[in-house]
Amino acid sequence: MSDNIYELLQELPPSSLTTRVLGGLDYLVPGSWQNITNFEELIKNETGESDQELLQAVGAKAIALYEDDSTGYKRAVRIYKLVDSGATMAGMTSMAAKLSEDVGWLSFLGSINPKPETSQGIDAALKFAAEIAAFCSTNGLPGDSIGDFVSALTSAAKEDRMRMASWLALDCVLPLGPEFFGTVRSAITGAIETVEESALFKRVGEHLHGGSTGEKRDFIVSALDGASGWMQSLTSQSDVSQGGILSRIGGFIDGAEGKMDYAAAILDMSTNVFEHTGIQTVARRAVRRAYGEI
Amino acid sequence: MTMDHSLRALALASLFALTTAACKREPDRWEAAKEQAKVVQAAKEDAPPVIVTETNALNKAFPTDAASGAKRVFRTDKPGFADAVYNNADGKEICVLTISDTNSDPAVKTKFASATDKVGGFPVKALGNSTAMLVRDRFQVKVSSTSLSPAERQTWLSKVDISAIPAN
Repeated sequence: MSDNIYELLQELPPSSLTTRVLGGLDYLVPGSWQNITNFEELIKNETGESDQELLQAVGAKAIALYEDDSTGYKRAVRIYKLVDSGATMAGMTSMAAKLSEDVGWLSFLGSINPKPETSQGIDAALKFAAEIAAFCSTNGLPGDSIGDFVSALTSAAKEDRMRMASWLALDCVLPLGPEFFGTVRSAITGAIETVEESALFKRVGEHLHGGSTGEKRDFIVSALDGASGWMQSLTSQSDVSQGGILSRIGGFIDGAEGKMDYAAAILDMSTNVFEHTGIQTVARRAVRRAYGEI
Repeated sequence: MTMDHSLRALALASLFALTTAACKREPDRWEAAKEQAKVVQAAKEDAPPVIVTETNALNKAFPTDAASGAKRVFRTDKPGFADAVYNNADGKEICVLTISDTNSDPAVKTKFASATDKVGGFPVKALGNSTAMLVRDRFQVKVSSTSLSPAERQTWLSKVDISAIPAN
């Protein structure tokens, strides 16, 4: 498997279910994201340069920076991959619960705990926290305060903006409805054991900010609260309703007509938005730093 | 082996060689950089650690909103490197300002040897869409922008608070 940033980028598919779903969600953040899977094209896009010698120098430096563990770029890619490595608990549980309702002989699946909404809320919060962990690994904590950090997060552009919009649409609004924020917040502030039992927490927990689970949770909650204004503004500006989202991407999911929890579960299990756009993000940041350092 | 057989064997061998060559992935333009990066990284691990500035050491040098007349958004704060983007009132990017500690790669300083321009007494060099300044022979301050002219980029460099950049 490739462990170099330019190969990771160039191995991303030009077209896949993930890219089609993201294309469908473009209306949330119009024109923010292009599916760039060529390293030279990314360098041109980020720097505006066209001189081949300069592009080569920037690319070589970005490759060297990625190779250096102390820059945190490799760790960020690892976190993005972990978020998408297999079905999350919410996807599995939600799917199992729906199947058990619809198919009699599968009713034993319905006894799976925790309840889908709680696990969906926890997964949504954990994905957000994983985004912060990857962000800090890539960028450190820019500026002098948490305010600067939230400002950097909420003024995110390009791949970052697309990923966060997709998170809001597919992990929050689609499965949880318009009142998602309260559900996500109360899920993550609920019983600490429920958080620790989450399959996603088991994968990404060690990368999250804070020592104990309690500290990690406090950080997640303050970051969620800090970004709540951004979430509200995005959901109020665009048609970020369950129906609005499904009308754009429903065509990609067979058999999910009108069933929001089905749709969310299928998308959760069959797309890798964090990994795909996360690799693009890290490649772009390495290129930007390289351009500054050469 | 008759001549005929030899020729056929040679032809087959050539064909095989050609096919193998065609199947083998051509090395791309980044291959050498990847190998070089691995060598440099391995050498680094055996060498004494390079001292660069800690995080939070460079932020104060970035012009404030009031000093720059633009909206500053910090993006990176890592050991030896920090950057911020400056946007106009519509949220459109004006430029990116980066400050890096060349202790991590002293070779980048060589380009300033031919610098003729100076800002605040420090050598300045333009390259493509960016203009760089070398502060106290150690810190590279760079403004990059696809919309600003080289002269405007120099003006941006003059807004940087040099006194906030750590002493060597």
